[in-house]
Formats: sequence, structure tokens, C-alpha cells
Amino acid sequence: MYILGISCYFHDASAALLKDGVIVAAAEEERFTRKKHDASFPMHAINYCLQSQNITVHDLTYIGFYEKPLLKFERLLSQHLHAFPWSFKTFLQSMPSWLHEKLNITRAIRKQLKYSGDILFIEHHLAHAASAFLLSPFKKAAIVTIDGVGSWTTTSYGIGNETKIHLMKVLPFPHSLGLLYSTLTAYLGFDVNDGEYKVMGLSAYGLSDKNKNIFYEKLKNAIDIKDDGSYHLDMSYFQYHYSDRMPSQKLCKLLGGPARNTDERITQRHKDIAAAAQMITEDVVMKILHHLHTSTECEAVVLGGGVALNSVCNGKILKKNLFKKIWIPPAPGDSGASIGAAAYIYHSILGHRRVSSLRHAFLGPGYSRKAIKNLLEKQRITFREFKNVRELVNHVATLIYKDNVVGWFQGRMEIGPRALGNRSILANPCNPHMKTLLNHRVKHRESFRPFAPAVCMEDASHYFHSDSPLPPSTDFMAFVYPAQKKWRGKIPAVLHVDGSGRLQSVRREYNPLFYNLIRSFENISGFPLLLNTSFNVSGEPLVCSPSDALQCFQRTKIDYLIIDRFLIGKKDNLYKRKHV
Amino acid sequence: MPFRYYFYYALGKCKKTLIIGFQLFHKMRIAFAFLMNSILLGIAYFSVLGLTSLIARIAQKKFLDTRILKDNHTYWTNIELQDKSLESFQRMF
Repeated sequence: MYILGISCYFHDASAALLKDGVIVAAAEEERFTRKKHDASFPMHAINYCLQSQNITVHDLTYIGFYEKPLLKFERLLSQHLHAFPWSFKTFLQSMPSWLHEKLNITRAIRKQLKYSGDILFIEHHLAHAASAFLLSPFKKAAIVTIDGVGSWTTTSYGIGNETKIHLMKVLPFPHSLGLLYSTLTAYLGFDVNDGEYKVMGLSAYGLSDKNKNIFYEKLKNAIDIKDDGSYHLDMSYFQYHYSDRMPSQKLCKLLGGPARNTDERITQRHKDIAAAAQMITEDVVMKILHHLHTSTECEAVVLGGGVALNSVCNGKILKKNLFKKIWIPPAPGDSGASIGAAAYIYHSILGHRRVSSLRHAFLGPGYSRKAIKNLLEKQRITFREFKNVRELVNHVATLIYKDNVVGWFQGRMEIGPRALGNRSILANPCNPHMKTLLNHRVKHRESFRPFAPAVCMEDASHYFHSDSPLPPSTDFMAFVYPAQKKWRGKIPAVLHVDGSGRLQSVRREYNPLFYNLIRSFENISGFPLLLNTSFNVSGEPLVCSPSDALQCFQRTKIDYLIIDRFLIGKKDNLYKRKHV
Repeated sequence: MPFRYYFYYALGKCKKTLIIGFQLFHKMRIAFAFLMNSILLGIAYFSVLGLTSLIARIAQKKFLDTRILKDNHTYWTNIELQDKSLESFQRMF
């Protein structure tokens, strides 16, 4: 039985295909259209999912959509009514797309896919909960979902047991932790739905002492947090419910000045505000989890929704040790909601037993060696083909050790925002200048942003501190861990200013090639870890095809590109680069 | 010289003008449609939403709950009894 999950029309549109309870394909639309966070109908992603299994839409038993559009429309009308007449501008902006396509999602699916079967609509937070729980390794777990907003719900919690999900309590719009964080993201001059992780990175430079950070106390005026983790925002500080500008004048006044312009210099004040936003977020999440732990007595918890991408907060949860086990999927945000919609139909509605958990994120397209070779030859690229894998990894490990920046393109693409070793840029973690070099010359992004370490699973706790065994979601870079003090000076390129790293544990069974590469690097350098960052430049989605990888390689200062078994050197292709 | 040559010659001469004219017409159509859409949405906004909002304000009803509660309360709200039949998932609400 095939079930297709779809999420679209908000941000990060995606499609996922479930075959007899196993997710066999999933991808974001942005990877194909090359528009970051593309929200359009995911035609390319759907086509990929169907082609990967050699099926057509007629083979689908159900299509699941990740929200109930009319509930969302009701919320939209309510917020416009609430703010009448100040909401006129956003009403004019949002209504045409709603009337044109979003209200007719059934028609859009039937027309675009020529599909005549059943279409089921799963409430947004239920899809997040399903994505987090039904593909987790737990039979029973507490569930928390926190994001910007779905239809009405912004935060929810409940219990998952075998195939059943019971969401018990919710917090409704406009009170949203995700939107609070997004408002401060906008205030700090970053793009909403994209720059939140920049705020997270910036927060490490701010004052983390709650008594000394004046913005922490100030921001507490804008949110009332109860002991059980429930909260309400003072809406006079926000205007996202009726305007496209999120912070209100009152919030600007509270924070001591106007919002930062994109090109304005980042000052200590901005860093402190980022730190305050992070601390408020952590306060709320901790209280919710504490309340959930006492009220459900579950020993495992799963997190879903965009806020679960806050790896700094996730690291704090781990440190707090409230729950014995924790699971965060590789795509907890909207791009993973298509997976949740499909899984919910199969397990919870149709009642089929859960077969397996999602143990890796490599669900996107892969390309055959023949197709890659044809492309390279067609583009007259000078390359070297390795017949032997060991020879390849040894050679690449040496290149990295010699401080070359390497583009690493292997197998199937990752679902979710993180590159996990198949669409990665790799570099030497021991070089203290590597962070600056990568940020300025390769990724073209802000200098304060850190890079992640990819470590062989067996060695992870040797280099990074954790009170409990590393949870499986560490494979998806879900948590930030403090580095062991003795190693801090040795691996500077993968540590943030506070000595922490967003660790990716790499297991031989799920990505043997990447694992062997790290081991080869260890043989040369003595360190079983590599700097791993996403294979893209700032403002672009992760590369998807070999052609995308070549274009990115040609436009940046990446020294070597490895696609499958083919090694391409920048120096060997300097002349051709101008002509391709 | 046959008449059609004069015709094609004239057509060739004014081709550019025709293209510009057509493009202008097309843009005007888009602009007109956009204007009409905006007017209709504006009417809908100020009549329907305005009236509803006015009635709600007289009845002191709120569309969004923005209250700040005293200390020992909670903001968590229960989810209404959930209909989990297949039919309920076929609905868009």
C-alpha cells in the first residue's frame, strides 16, 4: 500500500511516500526548484517520490495533506476581524492566494496529479506529532509540538501509544513561542522562517546570565509564563497577527531602539537580545517538559514542530535529564509534516502496526554512477575516477588534512535542513582559520555562525560531554553538546564561541562511506571527526543533483568536489570553468 | 506588385507598434483585473468584516483570546472531543 503525504502553501513544501509503513522517499520542493523554502505545490518532489518506486498516482491508496485548510482560513479571518481595520493590507495580500488555490486544495491535487482517489486532511499539529512519534523508536512516549502556527494551534502536548496519538492540551494563536522567536529574528534584521538559526548562533555571544542580561527581564514583560509551561503573549508588543511587520513600536521601545537593518553592524546589544530570546524559549520549553513529565509519567519524549530545530534548547533538555529517552526527527518542521500526514493515515487511521523507526534521513534522490560520468564528460570536466573505495576515502582524507575544502556528494539526498554526510562541504576541524575561511570565501555568510562536527559514534562522548548515552537523534544534529575541555583548543573550527558543537554522530550501518572517511581522517590526524556543513551557499537550498553540485563548486572556493567515485579538482578545471 | 506584398510590407513596418500595443493591452488587462480584485476585496473587507467586527464589539466578543490571567491559572486549553472517523479526515475542517 502506497500513501503520499504532501505539505505546501506555507513554507518548505515537501512530499513523502510511505510503502507499507516504511518511508521510502521524501524530499523538499526547494531542492528541485532551487528556491529556498519554496512553498509552491510540490510537483517535482511528488514526481521524484513516485518515480523512485516506479509507480504512478493510480497506485496510491491515499493522499494525505498536512493541515485542514478551512480551519486555517477561519483563523485567518478571525485575526483580520480582531484587528479590523488595521489588518486591511494583509487581508488584501493574503486573500487572492487563498481564494485562488489554498481553499481549493482538493481540486489542485486532483487537477495537478490527475488523481481520483481519497484525500485525507490531517490537522497541522497532529501531522507534526505523527512525524515525531510514529517514526520514533518508542512504543509509548510523551509528545510535544511547538511551532509558529498551524491552523489554530501553536503549541500542543499529548501521549503516543503504539499507533494512537492523543493530543491533550493546546495553546491557540496568537500566543506562539515560534512567532515570538520569529518576531525577535525580524527585530534583529534576519529573515523570518530562515534566520531563526542565526539568532540561535548569535545568542552564544550574548550575556547568558539571566540576572545580568537586561533584555531577558524586559522580554518577560511580553510573555506571561505559567509554571505548567502554558503562556500568553502580551499582543501589544507584537503585530504579526495583522501586519507583515512583526514587532510593534512598543516592543522596539521596550528593547531600546528600532529594529536592526539587514546591513547594519551587529552590536553587543543585538547579541544580548538574541541570548534573551534563547533563554525565554528555553524557559518555556523546560516548563512544558517538566509539566508533561509529571502529568504523563512517560520515560520517553518526542519533539515536533519548527521549534524542535533549536538544537541549543534541545541540548539543554538533554542536560536536564527529565526524560530518559528523547527523539527528534530529522525534519521536525513543516517539511517533515508530509511524512507525518502519510504515517498518521497508515498507522492511526487505518490501524496498521508500526514497522520500523526512521533511522536515517537519506530519503531524497540519488544518481547512478553512469549518469554522473555522462554529465562530467558532457561538461568536459577533468576528473579522476577511483575504482577502490578505500583509495578514495584515503585520498579525500589527505586532501582535507591538507586544509582543502571538499564538496562531498554521495548517495541519496537528506530530508530536513541539515547536511548529514551525503550533500556536505567537509573541512579540517583542527585548523583555527577554517571557520573564517568557510564563512567568508565559501558560504558567504555571517562570521559568527558556527560549523558542526561529524564524529564517529563510538568516539562522540570522548570529545563531547553528555551525562547520558547519546540519543539516536544526535545522528540528525539535533542537539548541541559542550566539548570536553581538553579538546577545545584542538578542534577550534567545529566549536562555537562557548565551546559547544552541534554534534552529528555517524554510524557505520547508516552511512558506511562517510564513516570510513572520518576514520581515514583519524588515521592521518588523530581526530575521528570532520567539519561538516551543508553543500550550498547562503540563500540557496542544499544541492540536489550532480549538476547543482557542479554549479555550486564552480561558483565558490571549494577546492575539490567528490561526486560518487569521481574527484574533480578546482585547479584542473580553472580554464573550463569560464566556459561551462 | 500584388496587393499582399504591400500588406506584408505595411504589417512589417507596424509590427513593433502592434506588439507594443498588444503588450500594453495585456498589461492593462492585468492591471484592470488587479484593480477589480482589490476593489472587490476592499468592499468585502469593509462591509462584511467591518459589520461583523462592529457587531462583535457591541456584543463585546473577541476573535482572539488575548487575556493575561492571574498566577494560579493555566493557559492550556482542552481539545474538543476528537472525531477520528475516516470521514472526519476527508473534511477540510
